[in-house]
Amino acid sequence: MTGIAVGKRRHWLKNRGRSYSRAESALCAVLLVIVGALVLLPLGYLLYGALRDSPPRTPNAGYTWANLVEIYGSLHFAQPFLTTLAIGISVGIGSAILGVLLAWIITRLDIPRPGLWEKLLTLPIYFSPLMLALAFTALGAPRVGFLNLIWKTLGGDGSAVSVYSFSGIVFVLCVHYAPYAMLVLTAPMRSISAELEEAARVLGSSRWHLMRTVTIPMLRPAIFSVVLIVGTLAAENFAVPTLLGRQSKISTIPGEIYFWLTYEPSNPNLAAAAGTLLLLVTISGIFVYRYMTRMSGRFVTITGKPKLIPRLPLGKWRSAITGLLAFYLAITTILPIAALIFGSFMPYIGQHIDFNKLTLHNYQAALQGENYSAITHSLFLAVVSATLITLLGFLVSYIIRRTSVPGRGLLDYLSALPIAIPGMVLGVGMVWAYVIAPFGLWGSIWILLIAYMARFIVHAVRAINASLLQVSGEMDEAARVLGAGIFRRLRQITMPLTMRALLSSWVLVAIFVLNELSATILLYSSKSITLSVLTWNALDMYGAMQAFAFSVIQGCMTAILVWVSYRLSGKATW
Amino acid sequence: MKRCNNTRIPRALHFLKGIAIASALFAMQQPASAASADVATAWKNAQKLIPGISKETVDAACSEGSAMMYSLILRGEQEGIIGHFEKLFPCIKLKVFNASGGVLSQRFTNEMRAGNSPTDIWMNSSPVYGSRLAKEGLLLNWTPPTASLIDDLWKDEGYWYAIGLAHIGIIWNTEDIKPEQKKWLEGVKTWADVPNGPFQNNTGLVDIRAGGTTQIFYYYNKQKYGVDYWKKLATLKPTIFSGVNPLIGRLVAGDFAYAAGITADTAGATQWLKGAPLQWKFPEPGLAVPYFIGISAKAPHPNAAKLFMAWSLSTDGQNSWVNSSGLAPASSHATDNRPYAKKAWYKLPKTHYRADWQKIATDLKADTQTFTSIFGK
Amino acid sequence: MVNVPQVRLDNITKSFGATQIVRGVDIAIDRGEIIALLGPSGCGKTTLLRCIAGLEQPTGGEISIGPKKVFSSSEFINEPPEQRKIGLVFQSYALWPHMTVAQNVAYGLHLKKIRKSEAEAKVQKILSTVGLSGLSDRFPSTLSGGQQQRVAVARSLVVENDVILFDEPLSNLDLKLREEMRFELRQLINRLGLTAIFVTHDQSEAMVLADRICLMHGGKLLQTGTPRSVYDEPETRFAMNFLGAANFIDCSFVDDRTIRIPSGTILQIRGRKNQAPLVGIRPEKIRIEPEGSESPNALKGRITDSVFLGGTTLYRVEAEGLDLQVASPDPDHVKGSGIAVVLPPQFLLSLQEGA
Repeated sequence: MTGIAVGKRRHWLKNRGRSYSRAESALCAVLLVIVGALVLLPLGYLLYGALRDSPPRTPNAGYTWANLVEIYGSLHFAQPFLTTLAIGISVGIGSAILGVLLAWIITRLDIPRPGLWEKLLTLPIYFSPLMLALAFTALGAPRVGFLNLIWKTLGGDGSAVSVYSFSGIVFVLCVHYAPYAMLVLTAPMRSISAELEEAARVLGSSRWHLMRTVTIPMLRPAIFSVVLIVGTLAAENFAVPTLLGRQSKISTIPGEIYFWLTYEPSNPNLAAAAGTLLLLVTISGIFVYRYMTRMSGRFVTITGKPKLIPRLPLGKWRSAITGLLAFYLAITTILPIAALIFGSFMPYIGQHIDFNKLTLHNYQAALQGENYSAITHSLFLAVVSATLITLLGFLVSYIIRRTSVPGRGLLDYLSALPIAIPGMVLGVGMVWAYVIAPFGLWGSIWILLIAYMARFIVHAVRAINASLLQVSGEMDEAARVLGAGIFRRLRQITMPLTMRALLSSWVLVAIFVLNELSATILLYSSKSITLSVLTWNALDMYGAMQAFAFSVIQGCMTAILVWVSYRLSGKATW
Repeated sequence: MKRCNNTRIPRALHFLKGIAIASALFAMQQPASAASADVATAWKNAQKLIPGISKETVDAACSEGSAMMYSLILRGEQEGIIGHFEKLFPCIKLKVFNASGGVLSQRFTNEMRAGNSPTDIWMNSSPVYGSRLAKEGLLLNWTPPTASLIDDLWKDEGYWYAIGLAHIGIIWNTEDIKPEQKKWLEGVKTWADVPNGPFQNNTGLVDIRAGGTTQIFYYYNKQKYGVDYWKKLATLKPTIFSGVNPLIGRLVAGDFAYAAGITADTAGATQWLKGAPLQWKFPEPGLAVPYFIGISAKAPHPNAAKLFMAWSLSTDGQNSWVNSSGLAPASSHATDNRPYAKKAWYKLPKTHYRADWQKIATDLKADTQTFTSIFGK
Repeated sequence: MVNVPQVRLDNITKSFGATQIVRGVDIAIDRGEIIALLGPSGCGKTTLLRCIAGLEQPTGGEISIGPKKVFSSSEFINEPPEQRKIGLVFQSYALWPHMTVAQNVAYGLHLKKIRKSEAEAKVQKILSTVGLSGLSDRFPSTLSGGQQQRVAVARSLVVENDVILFDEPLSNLDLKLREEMRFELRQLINRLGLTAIFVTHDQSEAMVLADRICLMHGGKLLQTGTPRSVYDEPETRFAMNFLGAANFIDCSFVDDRTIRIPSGTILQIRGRKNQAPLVGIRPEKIRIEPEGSESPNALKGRITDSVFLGGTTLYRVEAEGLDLQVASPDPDHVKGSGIAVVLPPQFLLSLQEGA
């Protein structure tokens, strides 16, 4: 029942010139307004702020080129800019390589319990980069990190590893993003029909040659997309390079932006100008990506269940490969989690591990009074944002992929634009845009919700796009002919058939929201403090170990969300 | 006939759950009404602790019922200040928004200029910024009855008043120093001695951009001893940190043994209180940055704010601020009960350097470039 | 009212960008008629069907269903498919995999707000009509192709629209099943008194199912008529070729009843209809007679090849420069033997070139 359906190609043609109903164009218009407002308002204020000498609404303020000149015209920021690029590219490529390898091992090799391994290897994505950085400082700090202490007891000299370095930054970010790459790549790897590979093998291709000339080229668009997205996310991350980089004199543009926004005297206009620089970089990255994937734009869809590619038997290599996976899991997941948990019971990290010093104080402080409300806020934001974003993303994806309403191309660009906007930059824009918001919106938890919707809708749209393409348009048409209007069809036909994708998008967005720091730190108020902000502030307030405790709590919440979504996903057959 | 969906995801339930939580959170924000017993207690305590405060102010404060403070991140603020104040004046619920300096100022000014700020009391540690906002009209002009308790150096009369001082000093890891280093440390008297420390490759410094508390250290020494001072510091090959807290963390971990230009009473003491092996010292003349509060010109609860301000400057208030946040007293009338202040090795400086905050601010850009060229980026 | 057609298409055109898929098609379908849109792939028949359903928007023309105009490019009328009240059975059946057979079939009834009990009864009735009683709680993925097709048909029938469209309804079934289903489908449609339009590329299917065949090629409607008339009296080379086997003879006209073939022989034809110097005759109409026959339009020939097909035998004959295919029930003509081939004038048809 596999193979490339001729019918699908015909269907693609049909999309051009298909009639669209008034309801569809109305929906598209509404979505355009919503997404447009979410994205363009902060962006507009940001560009405006970059051209001003003081924050908006300051009396006696005027226009100036000085900020832009400082960023683009002087060499002051050449080094941080290059460092930022270097981090982005290294992490993008590193994660892609890891992702391909892991995806290949999981889908193609005959390892024991591949389903379990897939779940385990996904774990690092559930910890925020900040949490991972914290954990690795406990593990890999020179002289006193746990690993270095072990090294010392084994008789080693000096430090075996130091996480406070460029490679440390790249390592931590790769650990976090490699699972994302793996997830994105397993799906296409699985769906390459066995027959395509068998055809090559029959013609005499070895497995390695096959991988190089057939498998990887077919994965090219997915690989490019991973490099671009992961590279962008890594480059705009401010927490990890700030935490791990200052000692080695590593500064990045997001780190500079953070300086200008959080320390006195602050310079938000300069920060806005630097934000435009990051914007330009990511937008050009998107263009490069679209250009490269346009060339490999052959549209191949598979109908029915593709014949599963039989796994390569490993024989004597089985335990070696499994051991390798276990080692990778230990380094990237088990050790950091252990370090976080252990560290959360310590008052501070000293030169010796003193078990007498173990204390519950960090947790007591973490769960008292105001801090406790942060837990409810974070949970509320995660659940509600994920639900709203998934719904919105579903509607947007439907309009873009399933209808021929004019204006859907614009909707596509608008919803993807935030990926070019770093979190802090979005935060600055939003502060300026929404401080005048009526009905007490400003300072409430709903501002954070709006920020998250702008920031993360692209992930929902992306996740659902792929799934929507698999659902035949005729399912929708059949309901239409029987008289079902658009919302009924969405609810009764399309949504159930894409439920798996909706759920995985839900959990992904929920976790992104839970971990979100860079925009939150500028937009939170006493009524909306979140766990991620508490974690970061703890680094200022009670010391790093308190931050460990918050991280552990955050990790537990993530685990609950993931478990809930797995249960629901098990019940959904589509 | 059963309708489609055999998936059992109750999407509506998610929504309802969210709405339920939202309503609960909203409900929790409603201010409580003042009970008359609480008002009586408040007045009793006000009379006792805040000489000169009028009954009208206290009554008005009680009927306002709450106040919002935008505060820097301080150690024991929740119990020592908020809790204590609410116990003294039970008719007022004190809410606080904590953030670091830049975020706090930006938030305050953005909101005020947009006409939409919930702030009653605003805290900051940059005198030049505080006075600028006062001039712009963002701070309320009011002199508390207890204003005279604060020394001249630490206030802008009518606008903002210090509730504590962050002294700058040198700090070291007691477990990590050798006897000759210890001897040298004991001999340090003035800032001129500081770069001569026998701590090659064993020193930490904070980046000049990390706020007023670091700027004053670099500025004073450059002004007094010239740029050579910085160059001498650089010969120690120090590790430069983006903030004082990461530095303290690494100091405690034993990455290096000695650091200069540090707000030891806040950052260092936090770790000391947990048992970290630290000691610190304040060379002469004393360099200090005031942590001050002012009242918002458009405060929604001006009288509650006034009460809080007046109390903060009173002896009782000063004692509370000092002992819970760990800042040094800004008033000679306060009693210093901080645990480390009682230690033999702890001495507050005798003299104070009178800083020209405006000049420090204007020189900052050039100083940053000099700093970068000397210490590297 | 009696003479108002049930479905009417006036000058329908449809272009995708620069390509014209449908060019000026006019069809009028009476109530209770079964029409086949027959043609090779890419001739625009499916596009035309989807235009009737409202899933595609024509570039020009008018469509009426019953007395109502559902599409008019000049009057800017374009009713969405939800409101046109026609049934459509998809080639892939488009059954919803997450719903049971009963839920699939009942979907349209729920939309019409029919009461649950009544709907259940209707569903059971239609399922037994199509021969699927007892399968109401099964899921489509567990059914065979033929059963799925019946569910798809049942789903469209149960809502009792007057017009029902089929997009290649039988092409996904295997041969035996296809032949069975043809008859069943036709009987069902007639019994319910429905008007049906279906699209197919299979001429035998069209012949069985349709009251009238509309032959399409290159977006144009070439010929309309009953299966018999289109078969016996094709107007073009394409029409003759598409609906059965054919022999084509280039010739020149002597007059309206006579032609001259390249070898010079004069033949009688039925009657000249067109300008093109082309006539055609079906293999089964050519008779093989002993050499020297005196029948009209007899040509001297020789058998060059023969293939035995069971009921008929296909002979290849070379006769006076013409290379002819002859189908005969008599298998015993020997290869290489000299014979006379007779092309009876009433079956020698004058044709137009191409489409």
